[in-house]
Amino acid sequence: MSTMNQLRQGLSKAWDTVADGWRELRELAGDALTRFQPKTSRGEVETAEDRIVTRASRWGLLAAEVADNDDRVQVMLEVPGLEADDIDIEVRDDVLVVRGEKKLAREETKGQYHVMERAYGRFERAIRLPVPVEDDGAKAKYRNGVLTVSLPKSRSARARRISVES
Amino acid sequence: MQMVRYNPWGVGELQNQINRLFSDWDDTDSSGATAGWVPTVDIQEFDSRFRLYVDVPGVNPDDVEITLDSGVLTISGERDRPPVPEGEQMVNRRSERGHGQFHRRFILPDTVDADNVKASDRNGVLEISIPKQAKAQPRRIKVAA
Repeated sequence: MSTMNQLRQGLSKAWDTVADGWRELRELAGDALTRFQPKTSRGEVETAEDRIVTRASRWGLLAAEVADNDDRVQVMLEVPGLEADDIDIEVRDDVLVVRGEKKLAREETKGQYHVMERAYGRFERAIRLPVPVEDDGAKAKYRNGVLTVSLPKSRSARARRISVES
Repeated sequence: MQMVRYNPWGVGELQNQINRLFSDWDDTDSSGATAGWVPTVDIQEFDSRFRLYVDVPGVNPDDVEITLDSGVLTISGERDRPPVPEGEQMVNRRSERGHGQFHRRFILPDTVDADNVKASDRNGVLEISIPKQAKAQPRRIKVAA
C-alpha cells in the first residue's frame, strides 16, 4: 500500500472519530447552548446596565435533564440567577418551552469588569419530551437556581401492566 | 434593486461570541482537568472591593468552600445528583448537567483584605465580596491653597 493511501486512510479514520465524538456530544448536550438576547432600549437613553449587558456573553449553557417513570416526566433545567416570577413555562404538543430573563441586578454598575462569562437577557429553551403529557396537574418549582417541572404522562402514554391469566 | 446579504445576527459577531465562549477555558486553566464541570463567573472591581458572581445552580451552599490564600482565591465544591425518592425509579432520557467536583482559582492583588471576605447564595448564584485594605483604596488629595 502506498504511503499516500495509508495517509488517506488514517485521516479518514481520524475524521470519523472526531465526527462520532461531535455527534455524540451534540446528541447529549448540544441543545444546552442557548442564545441570550439583551433587551435593547432602542432610541431611548442607554443606561449603565444596558451597556454592561450588551458587552456580556450572548451564549449561555442551560443544561437540562429529562427523566421519566411510569406516570410522569420530570424536567430539570439549570437557570441560575432568576426569580421564580421571571420564568414562563409552556407545553406545546410534546415540547416544553421555558422562557425567562436573566437580569443584571446590581446595586452598583460603576465598577470595572475583569471577567464576564455570564450571559444576560431574554432566553428561550425548548425541550422535547419523550412522550405526550397531560396539561393538568403539571407542577414546577425553582430552587437553588434549578427549575424542576413535573408533568403527568397522558393516559395513552402511561405504562400499563397487563396480568396474564393462567 | 440593491442586494443585501442575509445576515441573521452578524456572522462576525457570532464568531466573536463563540471564540469568547471557548477562549476563556483555554487560557485560564483555573478550572482544572479533574473538575466535572466549570461554573461561569463575573468579577467586578470597585474602589473599595471586588465582587464575584458565580453561577452554581443545584449546589447546596453548605457544599461550597471559598479560600483566600496569599492572593489566590479558590472556589470549590461539589454538586450531587438529586436523591431519588424511595420506590420511584426514574429513567434518564436526556442528561446535559455536569455533576461532581468543581473548582476555579483567581489571582487577586495582594492588597485585598483576606479577613473580611463575605459570601452569600441566592437562586444558585454565589456572591462573594472581598474588600480591599484601607491603604490600597484610592484617595483624593486636596491641594492646599
